[in-house]
Amino acid sequence: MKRFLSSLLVILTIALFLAGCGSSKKSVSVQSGSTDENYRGVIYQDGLQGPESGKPNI
Amino acid sequence: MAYQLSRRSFLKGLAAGGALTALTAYGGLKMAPTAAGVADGYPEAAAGARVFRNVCPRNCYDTCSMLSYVKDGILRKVSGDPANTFTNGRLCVKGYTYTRRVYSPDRLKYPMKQDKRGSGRWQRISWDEALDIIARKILDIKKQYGSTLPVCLNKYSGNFDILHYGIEGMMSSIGYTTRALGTPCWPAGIDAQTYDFGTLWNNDPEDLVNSRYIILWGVNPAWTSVHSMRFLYAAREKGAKLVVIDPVVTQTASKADLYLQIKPATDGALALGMARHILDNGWVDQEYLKANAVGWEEFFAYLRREVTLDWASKVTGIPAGVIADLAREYATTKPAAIWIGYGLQRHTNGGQNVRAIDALAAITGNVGKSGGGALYGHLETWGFNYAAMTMPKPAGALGVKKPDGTMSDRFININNFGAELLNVKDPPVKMLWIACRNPLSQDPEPQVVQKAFENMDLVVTVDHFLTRTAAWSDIVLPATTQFEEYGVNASYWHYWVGINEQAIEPYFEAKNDVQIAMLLSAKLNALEPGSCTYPTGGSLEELVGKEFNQKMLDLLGIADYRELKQGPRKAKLLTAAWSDGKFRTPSGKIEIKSSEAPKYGLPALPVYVPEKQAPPEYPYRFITPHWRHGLHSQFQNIDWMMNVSPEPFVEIHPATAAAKGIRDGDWVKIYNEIGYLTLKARITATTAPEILVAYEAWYKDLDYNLNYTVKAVPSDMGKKATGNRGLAFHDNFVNIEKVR
Ligand code: SF4
Repeated sequence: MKRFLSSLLVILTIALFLAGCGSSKKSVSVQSGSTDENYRGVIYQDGLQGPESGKPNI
Repeated sequence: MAYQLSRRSFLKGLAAGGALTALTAYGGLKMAPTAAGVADGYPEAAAGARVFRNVCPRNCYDTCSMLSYVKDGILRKVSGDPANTFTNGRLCVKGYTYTRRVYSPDRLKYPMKQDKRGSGRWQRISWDEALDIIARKILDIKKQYGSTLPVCLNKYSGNFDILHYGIEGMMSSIGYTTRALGTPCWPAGIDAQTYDFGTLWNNDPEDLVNSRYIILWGVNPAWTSVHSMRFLYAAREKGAKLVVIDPVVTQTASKADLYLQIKPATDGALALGMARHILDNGWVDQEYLKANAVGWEEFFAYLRREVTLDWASKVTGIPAGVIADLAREYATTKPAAIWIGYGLQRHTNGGQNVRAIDALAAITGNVGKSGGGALYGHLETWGFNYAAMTMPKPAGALGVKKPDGTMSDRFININNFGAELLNVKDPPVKMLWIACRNPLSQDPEPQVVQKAFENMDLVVTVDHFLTRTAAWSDIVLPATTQFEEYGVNASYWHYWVGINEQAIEPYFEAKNDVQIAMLLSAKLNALEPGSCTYPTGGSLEELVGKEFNQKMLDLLGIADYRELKQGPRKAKLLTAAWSDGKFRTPSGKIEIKSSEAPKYGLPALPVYVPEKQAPPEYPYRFITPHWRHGLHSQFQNIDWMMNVSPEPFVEIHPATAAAKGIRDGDWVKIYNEIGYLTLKARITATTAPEILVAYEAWYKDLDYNLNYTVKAVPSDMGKKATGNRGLAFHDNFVNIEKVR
């Protein structure tokens, strides 16, 4: 009986460990990225004529 | 719309900021010991530490004058410099982490080369090898394309020290190159004030103590300009009323006498509604307008024709009676100051909203008055020579031909950097030099910037840390901190200018940007004589001396720049901006009807331009302000900050959370058609139901970049003064769902 109980305990521990490993909780973390791999931005205006490079960009 | 806010949730939302409050919550204008105390009044000095003068150069309103305490060559401690009455001997919570930054184990120690961009396989190389690779690439490009236009510089505000403009000088010294032009932070507001007053110029912020009524409009100084809080509190102790207008209940709002939660991007409607009420009640300062302004009659006609309190209430969500009371108090309590924040101009109608607020200050006669003003920022103390930046091109250099036959550099928009980099042709950009910037963290659409990186032959990043951008570079070069270099700094808020002394030896092999330029010049000229004009010798301190002209010396009341070693100096400017009545507009008056704005396709009058609306599929506005433990992507990666702020979160209103089944601490996904972000939810009534708030930051070990969702949509203004329109960062719309 005692042996049965300790075997059960070992199996339970292993099962719980495996369940923990497979849990979705483990897979969530802070993440960020693109939802459209083809997105290349937009050109909002053309013909940019900036000031000469002698002016500080503050 | 009046948002419900329980006292409990309100306090909960603010509790985390307690430490910062403690720093700010002292009353009156108690001054710290004077500069004389530097030599003998500090225990560190008595214990044999040498004390140096430094300036915090990290693109912050406060640009603090600092003291650094060095013993045995080690930076032991930093403090605020009491000689600067704005800094007043104290730093902010970020500033006190500098010793951790300087000696952070994460700091870049040596030049490094990456096997394949993004692989993480870095190899230490010598400075000579790094510069050899870079110089050969520049010369190859010149040979292949006939010019250095394929070399592109992206540099901005990671270090605003004047000598760091030497990076631009380095680019000039190799030939005509491509430059990322503009400013991401505040250009729409700059143009707005330029149209109205001729340029931006705020009253001395120390003069806020003389205000009797202060409106903090879209600004959160408790986090972003903690030293200004002292003057605000002092004004209040003298009887001033403090009003905060913001879509978010900020820590500053928690200190206000009156807080108004406005719908984002509708600030112009509130200003116009107030103006109409002021006009109807005869509170306009006619004498002031007659003497100092043009276009006010047409402005008043517009108000009478199109603006009512009810309209303003509907647009802004603030009850008409509250707007009326605010208008009455503002117009009849003199002097009254408005501090205009940078967040409210990060919209497609942002500049126009700033113009409406400027008009409000003008019609009440609050411009040019001590204790008054429409405070936004200034560049009055930035009249340096920019000697480190102004370098001649090498003989025979070719650039973009201008209509008058002369050559120029090529400019692409810093605020749409990725897309423009992908599109620029004839010749394409093949090499990037990135300094004082972290575009893969801070730019909108970093996914597009990253795509553009793929077209590059060589990406070089100069930084203190292996940032997101540095990690996607081919070569990283270690930069010195301000304690390891000489320099000089001005503020765009207060009137102080300070020298930055070298206090310690550079960390391992770190170098200053100007020193890097000198070494690159030597290498280029060794490989191809005459290919670079940058000087190859001279000390940084000598270069600091060259930045001063007579006008700057006179402004600071000194005969020689070395006098700044005795302490920073406050510029001898008018305390109240524009009190001389000499506006710099074409008419010389406040142009409530602007003669310049229509040239840029903008309305002449500060009429209301409707705010951008959320599309049905992305109903939440995603606002991404500064973080109290960081400044853009800086500081949050320092260990002390990681201890108090280990992970980011998104703030969600309880009503929104309930509708979406989200509980505090749940993982949520924020997304739109271009990007997504997964992070933890924080439920708080400090935001509004239709607004989600997360804070910009770089967490060194987390894949956190909220800019993946931010499109590079331009704001309305910025082109006139800064070369490119600003960014409508806060017109960003997303949806949200619970992940688990
Ligand atoms: S971050 Fe700003 S407030 Fe803090 S120490 Fe630097 S300049 Fe001062």
